[in-house]
Amino acid sequence: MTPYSINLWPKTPINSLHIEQDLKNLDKVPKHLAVLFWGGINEKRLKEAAQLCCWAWCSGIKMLSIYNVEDDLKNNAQLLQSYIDTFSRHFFINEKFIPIIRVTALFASTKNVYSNNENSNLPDMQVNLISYADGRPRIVEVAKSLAEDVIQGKMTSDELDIEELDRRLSVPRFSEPQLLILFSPKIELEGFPPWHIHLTEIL
Amino acid sequence: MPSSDLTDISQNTDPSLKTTPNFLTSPISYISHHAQSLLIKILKQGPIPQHLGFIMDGNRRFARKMNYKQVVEGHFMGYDKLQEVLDICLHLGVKVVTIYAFSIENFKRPKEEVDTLMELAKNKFVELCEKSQLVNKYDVCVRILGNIALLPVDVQEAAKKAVDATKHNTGSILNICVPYTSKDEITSSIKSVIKSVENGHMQIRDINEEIIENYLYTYGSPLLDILIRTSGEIRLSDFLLWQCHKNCYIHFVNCFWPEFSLWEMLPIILEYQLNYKSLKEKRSKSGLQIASSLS
Repeated sequence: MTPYSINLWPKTPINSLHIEQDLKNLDKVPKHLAVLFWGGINEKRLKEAAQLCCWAWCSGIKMLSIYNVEDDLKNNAQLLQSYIDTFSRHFFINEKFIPIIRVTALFASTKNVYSNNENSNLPDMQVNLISYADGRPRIVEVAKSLAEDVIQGKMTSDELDIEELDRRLSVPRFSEPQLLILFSPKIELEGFPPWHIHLTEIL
Repeated sequence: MPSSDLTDISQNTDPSLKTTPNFLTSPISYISHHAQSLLIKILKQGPIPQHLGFIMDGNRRFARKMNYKQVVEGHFMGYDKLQEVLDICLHLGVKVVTIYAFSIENFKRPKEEVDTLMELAKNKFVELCEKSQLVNKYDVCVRILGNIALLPVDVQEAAKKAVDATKHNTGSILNICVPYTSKDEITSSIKSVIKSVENGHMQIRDINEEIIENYLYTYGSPLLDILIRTSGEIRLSDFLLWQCHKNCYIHFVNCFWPEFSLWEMLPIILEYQLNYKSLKEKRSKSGLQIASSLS
């Protein structure tokens, strides 16, 4: 029996107190939750994603990664951030403060796009937007850079081990998720970064 | 009329290749056996997955559930079940079966259990190359995937013998992953690629997904179609991560490995058959994408 029993009540929570009720039944909450995006990118779905981010923060989740095969979710990072900001204002009306939920679109290059530049403080919850490019192609990039390092004599090929790959693949903000949720009856990973899910529970 | 042999099996016979049960002495076995044969015939009318992966989990918990004297008995039951499931898969026409026999992480288990498992592995490797009815019936080529240097020397030798003895077989492939983790496989593939670059056989700019895939242990097998894990756990536990990450159906089955049977496999194969067309389309689409990114 999985420790992550999700309460599948159809009621949509209006504010954070509703979530607290549901949480009482859970044994364990993941620190890093990953989710496969549910369909094409449009305004309605982005708003749903914003809701999801707020619910996730209420549940105590520190990092949420949303995966979409194409890059168009990443291109809408600013929009998602604004929906989150709007939504959180009335969702967290009962809380003492409104949590800072920061959206980051991870790109294969080291320059990540931050959509909320106002606060330089650490966010209360980090939302990563990832796509196919962060999976196998990223591993290929790392392999190439490792090859260059070896050719240039910075390291030997024997020094290459799992820990080294772990280091290079964990883009500073994308650690391994404890739980991955798919919103479909069939389990198909659709290119979710393979390296990061070796111990992830999949629902 | 079935053959008239009785169902009494001596200890040395392959349990999966039992003689046909007799209706008079064991009607339930008889009906079940023939129902299974019929079911396999029906399934064969539709597309059959080419490559199945199994995480055979739950042997120890099964042993505890059945109150066996020793937990390792579960592993022996697990091996018998493996024979049975292999027979079903190969009978269906599956070309490649990949099984997660032992993870590199499993070395951390109690020494006694690890030693027993190593002994079991050694004996079974010997059996595979000397007198396995299954290998002969389906012309199975046995391959051992994993960081073999981590195994005790006698097990390594038994493994090498099994591989050598069957390497000319072309009927089907059994990939035994021992000791294996997917991260180790990917790391070793990247190492091989880099060594290739060092030796001048390849340029850095040639490195792509396909190259890394070619250096994985599973090279030579068709794409993974279905990955099945028993015992109800919903993790991949570092198995075939690269291979199952797209265009592959993953099933977590809620029974222990020794309890797995054709009846559990049935909905899985049926679902594959129902979705076969869309899977084929997705694969050819991603093949085109890779081709266009290479050019």
